Amino acid sequence: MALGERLVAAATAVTCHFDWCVRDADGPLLRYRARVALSDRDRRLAWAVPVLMVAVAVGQMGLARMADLSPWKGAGFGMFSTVDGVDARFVRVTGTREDEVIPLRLPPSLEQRESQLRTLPSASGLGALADRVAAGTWERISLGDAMRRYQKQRDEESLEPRDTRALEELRRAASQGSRPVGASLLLTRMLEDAETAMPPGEVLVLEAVEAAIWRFRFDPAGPALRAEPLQVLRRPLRPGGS
Amino acid sequence: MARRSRKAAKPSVSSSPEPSASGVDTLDVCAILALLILLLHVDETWWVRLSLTALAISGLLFPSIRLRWEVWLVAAVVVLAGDLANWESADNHKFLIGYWCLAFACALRAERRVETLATAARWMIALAFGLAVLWKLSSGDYLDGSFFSYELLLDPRFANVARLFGAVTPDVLAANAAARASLTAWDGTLTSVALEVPGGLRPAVLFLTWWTLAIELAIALGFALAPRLRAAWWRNGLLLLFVAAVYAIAPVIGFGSVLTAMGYAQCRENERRWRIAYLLGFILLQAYRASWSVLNDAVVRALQT
Repeated sequence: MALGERLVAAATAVTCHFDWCVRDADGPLLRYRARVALSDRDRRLAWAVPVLMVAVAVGQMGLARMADLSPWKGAGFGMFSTVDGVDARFVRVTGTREDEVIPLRLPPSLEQRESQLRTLPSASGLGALADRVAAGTWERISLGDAMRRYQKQRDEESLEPRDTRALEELRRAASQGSRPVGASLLLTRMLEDAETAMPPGEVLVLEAVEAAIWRFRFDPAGPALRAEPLQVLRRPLRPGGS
Repeated sequence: MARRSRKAAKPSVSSSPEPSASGVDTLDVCAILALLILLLHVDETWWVRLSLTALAISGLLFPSIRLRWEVWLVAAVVVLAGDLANWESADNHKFLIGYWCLAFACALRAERRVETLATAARWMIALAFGLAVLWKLSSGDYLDGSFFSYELLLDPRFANVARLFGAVTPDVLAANAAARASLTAWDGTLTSVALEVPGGLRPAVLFLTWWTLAIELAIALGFALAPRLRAAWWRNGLLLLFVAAVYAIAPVIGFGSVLTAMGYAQCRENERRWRIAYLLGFILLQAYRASWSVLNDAVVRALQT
């Protein structure tokens, strides 16, 4: 390649953002291959996805600012920029019966709905969750300890000898601060579809359901995690439950 | 005749310079990397998994399939549909994988396919990092160090870094995890919990906060301004450094894989060494994926002794 042509190629390189050059296979000289600008069609094809990325990211930022979408989600590339990820949000649901406020644990069938609410809280979503909870059948179950149930069964079946050693271990654990033997845990659970309450479960008649989405922040002064409700919704179910 | 030979001596404009000077078909390598990503790093619902596995295996076995734009369009639709179906949990890199498939489909419709794909890849990298920087700059709890304090004190992925550089012992991590569990429990009534913070945490927090921001900004600028910057080491070197450093801590190997695949695609013809570096980075990430926790623990043990 003559010097003049190389200079022309170099000038083309600068002005046309030339950046493709290869070494000739059979010679030491650089042979420049001018990278002319892409055709309009190719340029549109090259830019289609970056433009889509920007459009989605702008939408994600808008949702994060105006609707409390977690910055970690929604294809806006806000991951690792804030504590306010989905794990920093949680849902608390309580039912009211007479003067008693009962925390309600959501069943597995509502986990995805709960996760969606944590990612993008919404009044309609929270209302739908509260309605589903209100429409569900809740039973109160009492869990005794497994060893006592085992012993009872052995007694009923008249099997001998009893395994007193395991019972002693439980008693020892209880004396060290664990749940005392014989004491029972009182829990509430929502029955899944097509599931019926089993005795001795007690079906709870709720007067109101309250669902709330909470978010915690890191307080460097504490240091502590401090939670505040993002959205709260109370759904009365009967006249006394407002 | 003389005129003709002079014309031939002008800088040639290749309409399809896909096989590079080394004889390697750039586009084919890019397709193989993308298919491997679909095979290894998209794990959404069963229909996404099933269809992408079938597509990826077909593409890897039959070269004629993997350079058809229709195949990549289908891959993009399936990946993005899976992301939308799981929008509440889909990570950003899952969307980036879908975008990459779509960029591939677009490039295969172009006349100058390699350059079109390279341009898309370059801007996608610049945008991914630019948006990440924008989020960090607009986030108060990132800039004041709260974010990395939180991560070092509570995120198990940062446990080894916290132990090495922040003097955060396993006991402290366990106590903080228990505190957070109490706060977020379904039957909880607490509105705040105190955290245990060791004295040596602040320097590690400051370093991680500003190092991350600086390298992400440098990468975003390096790729956005690539045609005007002759220094390949800037953008390529920093991207590879980022991948090597960040994914050694946070095991988001799918993100690292798609970044290295795009890094390979945007390399210029005279950047063969960088292409090899990206390929090695891609392979190392897959190896790292298989034994992340073992390697991580071994490194920590070695550094502590």
